[in-house]
Amino acid sequence: MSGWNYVVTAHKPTNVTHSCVGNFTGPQELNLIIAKCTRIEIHLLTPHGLQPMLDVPLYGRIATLELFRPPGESQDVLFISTERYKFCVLQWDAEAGELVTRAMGDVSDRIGRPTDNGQIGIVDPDCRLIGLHLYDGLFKVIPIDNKGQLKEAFNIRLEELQVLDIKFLYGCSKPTIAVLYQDNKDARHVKTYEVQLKEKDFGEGPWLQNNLDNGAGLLIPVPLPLGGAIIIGEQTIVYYNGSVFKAIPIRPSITKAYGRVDADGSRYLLSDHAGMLHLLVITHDKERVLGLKVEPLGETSAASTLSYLDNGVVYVGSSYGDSQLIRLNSQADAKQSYVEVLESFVNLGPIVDLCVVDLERQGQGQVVTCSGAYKDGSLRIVRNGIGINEQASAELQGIKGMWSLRASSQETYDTFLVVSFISETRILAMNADDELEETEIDGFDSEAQTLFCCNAIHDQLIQVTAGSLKLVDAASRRQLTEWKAPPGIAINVASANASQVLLATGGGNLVYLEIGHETLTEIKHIQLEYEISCLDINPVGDDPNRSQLAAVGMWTDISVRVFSLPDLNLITKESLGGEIIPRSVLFCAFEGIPYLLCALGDGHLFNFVLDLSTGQLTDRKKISLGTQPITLRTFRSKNATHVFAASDRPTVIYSSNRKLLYSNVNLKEVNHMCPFNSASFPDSLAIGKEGELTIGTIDDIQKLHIRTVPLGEQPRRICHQESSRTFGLCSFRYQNSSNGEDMETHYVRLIDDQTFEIIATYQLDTYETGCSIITCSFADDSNVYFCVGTAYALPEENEPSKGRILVFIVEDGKLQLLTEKETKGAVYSLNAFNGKLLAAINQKIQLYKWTLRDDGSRELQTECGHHGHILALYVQSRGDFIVVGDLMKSISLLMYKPEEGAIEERARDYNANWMTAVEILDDDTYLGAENSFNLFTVRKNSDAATDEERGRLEIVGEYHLGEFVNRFRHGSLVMRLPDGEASRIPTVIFGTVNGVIGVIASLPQDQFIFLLKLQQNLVKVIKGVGGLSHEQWRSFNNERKTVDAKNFLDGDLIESFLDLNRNRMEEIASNLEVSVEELCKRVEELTRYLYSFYMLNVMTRSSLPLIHPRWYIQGVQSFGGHGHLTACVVR
Amino acid sequence: MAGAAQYLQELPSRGFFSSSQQTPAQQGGLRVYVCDHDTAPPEEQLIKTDTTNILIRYLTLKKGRVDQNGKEKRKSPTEEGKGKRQAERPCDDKFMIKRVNVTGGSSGSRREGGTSRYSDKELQSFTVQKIKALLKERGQPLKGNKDELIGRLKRIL
Repeated sequence: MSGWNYVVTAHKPTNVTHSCVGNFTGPQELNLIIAKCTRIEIHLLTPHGLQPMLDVPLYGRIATLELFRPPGESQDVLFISTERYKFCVLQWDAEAGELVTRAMGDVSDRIGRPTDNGQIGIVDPDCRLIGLHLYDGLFKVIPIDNKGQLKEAFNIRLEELQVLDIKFLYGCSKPTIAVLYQDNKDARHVKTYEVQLKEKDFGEGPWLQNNLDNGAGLLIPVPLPLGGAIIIGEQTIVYYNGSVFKAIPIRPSITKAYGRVDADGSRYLLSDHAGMLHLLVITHDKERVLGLKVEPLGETSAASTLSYLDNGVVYVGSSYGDSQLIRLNSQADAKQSYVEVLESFVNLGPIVDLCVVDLERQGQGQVVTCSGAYKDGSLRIVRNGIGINEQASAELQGIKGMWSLRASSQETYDTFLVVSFISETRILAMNADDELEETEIDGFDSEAQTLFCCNAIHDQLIQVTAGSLKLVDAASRRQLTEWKAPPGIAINVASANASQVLLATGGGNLVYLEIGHETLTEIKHIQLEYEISCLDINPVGDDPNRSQLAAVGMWTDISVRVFSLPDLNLITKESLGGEIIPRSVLFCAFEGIPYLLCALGDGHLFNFVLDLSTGQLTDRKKISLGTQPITLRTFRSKNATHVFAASDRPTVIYSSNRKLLYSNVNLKEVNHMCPFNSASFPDSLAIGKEGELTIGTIDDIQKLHIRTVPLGEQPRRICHQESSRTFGLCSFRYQNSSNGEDMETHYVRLIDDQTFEIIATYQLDTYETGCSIITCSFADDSNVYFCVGTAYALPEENEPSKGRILVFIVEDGKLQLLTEKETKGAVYSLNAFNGKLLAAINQKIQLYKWTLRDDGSRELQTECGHHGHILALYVQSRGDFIVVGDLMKSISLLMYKPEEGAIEERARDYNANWMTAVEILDDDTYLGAENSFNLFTVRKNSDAATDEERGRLEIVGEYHLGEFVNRFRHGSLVMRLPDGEASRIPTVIFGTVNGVIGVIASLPQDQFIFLLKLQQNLVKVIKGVGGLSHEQWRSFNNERKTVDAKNFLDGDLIESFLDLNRNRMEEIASNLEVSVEELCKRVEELTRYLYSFYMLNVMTRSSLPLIHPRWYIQGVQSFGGHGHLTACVVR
Repeated sequence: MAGAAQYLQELPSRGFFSSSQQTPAQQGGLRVYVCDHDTAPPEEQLIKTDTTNILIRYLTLKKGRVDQNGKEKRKSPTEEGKGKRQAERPCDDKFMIKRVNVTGGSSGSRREGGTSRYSDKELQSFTVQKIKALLKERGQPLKGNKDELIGRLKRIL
């Protein structure tokens, strides 16, 4: 039963809708305020750039955002109105660090038709009133008195019904608005009105201007001394103030945003739909406008808002691409652009489609989204992991190993970084200017590859090369003594600690030496039957300078052996199986538990728990970390030991609650790593990548990492094909056709899932649009195909009457069209359905079977269908059940009857929901999202007594998400393993227009009830910013009904429990009759489990055959800790 | 594009973004605001909308205006010159004074041609001040209400 759902945001909205600049946090502090749909970000401007301050969640979708300065005050206040007709005025209290609600209210009217062109909220420049245009034909006024207090609002009738823009004009004795509107003949005009506060009515305004550009859409009021307004059209820009009229033609473009540069309004920035930035200049003689000029500046992301910050720096907020911080240079660069991008802020919105894949085959989901629109379209790969913050890097080719050394044993910081190459060793050191500089240690052999080096006791250093082992005095850096390998035999691998050295020379010889004061003593020498591939004597026992055990990895028999020191007696031999040699072994202790880690050449890792006293290995586990050889090194971070596994998929191994955890690192390929804790780079790691040496610090928390693959065109649908390791993508771009118009051209693209390069393309016909793509196979056919559903979107048709289903196969990296089937409408959705293909074509659901023709070719043949929808847009199937999300008739449930070869309707939800996505949670429960930003679940009523009841899908849960969901997908961002315990919580990932990636988890009932109690308590403690109510915000709301949320939990609110101060936490915990620790743990674990962390502990039996690495994984324990949540789930 | 350069000079600056070393904004630096304080606005700042129908409001306001004007007419003979009203409607008073002066100035020239041109209706439309001014010119007493003053003026004309 999946009726109890927990909704949480894994990636916050990134679509920037509004921005403004003002003195919000202090009279002297200049702030940039950014609205990202349901969140506000406050940044501070500094000489060094933007300094982020606060991220404020809001219980509403922001419709308008304005800063204004109440009379006689030194600081701006923020006016926000939400799409659900609430508004608030916020003021920053610097002392308390709080956002104070100065005023708030409900501005909804009981009657009135919501405006088509969006809500407008404006503040009079002289701060006499706030004007709102929320319903057609009404203008709402909230008067502000001379003390800055708001008064009772009232409506004024506005004659103009199709309003495009309203702005207050500057320098008017009575507040005056200019209204840009369209009349019923589609002509556009501007009219002005004076707002008479006393009479609560409009008075005649100073001027009007009829018959403007047909595409006029934006009004810019010009401040004094010039006054008047600029009207931006698609082909002209006009200035008018009642007496002076200036107009200039422009290249046809749709201006989406403007930003004022000068306080006197002589320069403006304009951004059009294609992301071209223009400078609009008003030439004037300080009193009269002499003319207008428009100059192109360069290209940015397509802006939804522009804010001029300072000193030529502009914030470009975008809904369609990454938001940017740009600098306007006075000189053009080589590309004739005056725009220099200083910084980009990732924006995933609009997420049109997404798929969840496991590219690394580690069992961890990654989300690949179709993001962005038009030229800013891209694929984004979102995955969980640890981040490395690069602090310095240098080009260095061919690194073979790295070690850090301290100048003497008393030092706390590392001074030297020894970098080894194929035939030389170089030593880097921090100089006085905190720069890495090449230096020398006289006693070291710099003409040979270093195999190992470290600090030793008695203030000595050791270096192992193929030929010898050198002992060097740390102070004088002179060689003290040397142990030479027997002539003709080279040292292959070596390991050492402060007092011991273990060497392996060719022929399976193992030599053990001890370091004394200026002496090296060979203690023991044995010969093994095979060559040694790796060894380690890292001390994990009580003595940090000595190890009692040595680990040795072997060629030929593929084993790892543990020997005792100093006598080199074999204690344990563990055969690893397979044919891949161990490449790195390491002793390490996590949380006081000693482990032996052993990494293979194919990216697999074994871990064993080590018994220090007996040397026995237990708890053998195996996991795949990558595909390339792994080198293991320990490092310390936050006073805990971590292991860095360098490979093609670098991983950090650490332990929490006595469980080993593996976390991805956001680096592509790392060959070598060593900790480098220097004074200027404390707690850093030196990382050797291909051709590069990087020094960086490591994040202490896991977070989502996003990789961007720019496409330069808009992606619409995506799916992943495991067998060919490719993505199938439907996308389109604008291309100039012969008659000069921009034409949409649609493609089916094949993309490599590792490199993300386009490897093949199939161009669709003129007017043909890719509507759906899936990968599937058919009954009696082992091949895997890409099936693409299309529609011919002819300009003269309202609804497509023709489409195609194309079946492709991937052969040699090419898309081969095998067969096509014409359809009588748009193929909105495709599903693999019991070895057949299920298509949603306009109002019909159609089933096709894959048949073999006489000539051996294949074709799709209609089997059966089902009518009765307005437009069947979203279809999911499970077994013989089909769940359809209709354009406007909510969810219906169909069933396929194989014996009769028919599809019948079983039940439907009789609400009139306009669907945007559907998903099947379990056999009986279905999830839907509709276009008023709500989620709901319905349940099949198969046990009901009457047919009528059985034919009705019962509404189980309702919730206002506040986000427009485009796609649900089963899957998880965290490591999930097959055939784990029954303890897994099913999750669905969704992607929205604002770039949100969220998770919906179906919780067991007892856990739901517990968290519901927690939520009820949290609502009392955590208040809505601006006095907005959580209950109202989450109540299901559309044009037809508003009901309280039920059977959904607000995970974002529940998680904010962790951010409360201790007293508040205790207050809530005592209400729930649990301890704070317990409560924290439960919330934290849920968070980790759902999206931000992955943890696992993998057990394998050594007898398992070598197959796909995923299937090694046997038992899964989902949590660190002692599994409170696990316990809940199991129950 | 060459043209843009001349317009990109002297961009406004208050000293921000001036350092040559721009540190990129660290997104991690953005603290999530947890609002555990009371966010209700001050009581009188919980704004509601005037729910009266726009037409009804218009009619009431208009009626109020008419009433006020009517009152003004009725009251003006008695409350003339009272400071209160003057302060409230400075414009109207100014206008009144102006008219008094104008007629006062022109009355001199008109006297020659005789004031008998003033019809009853005209007299009735004169303000008390003006009538008093006319009476004063003729050395008549200034006591009584408007009707008495008009009667007195008619008698001497």
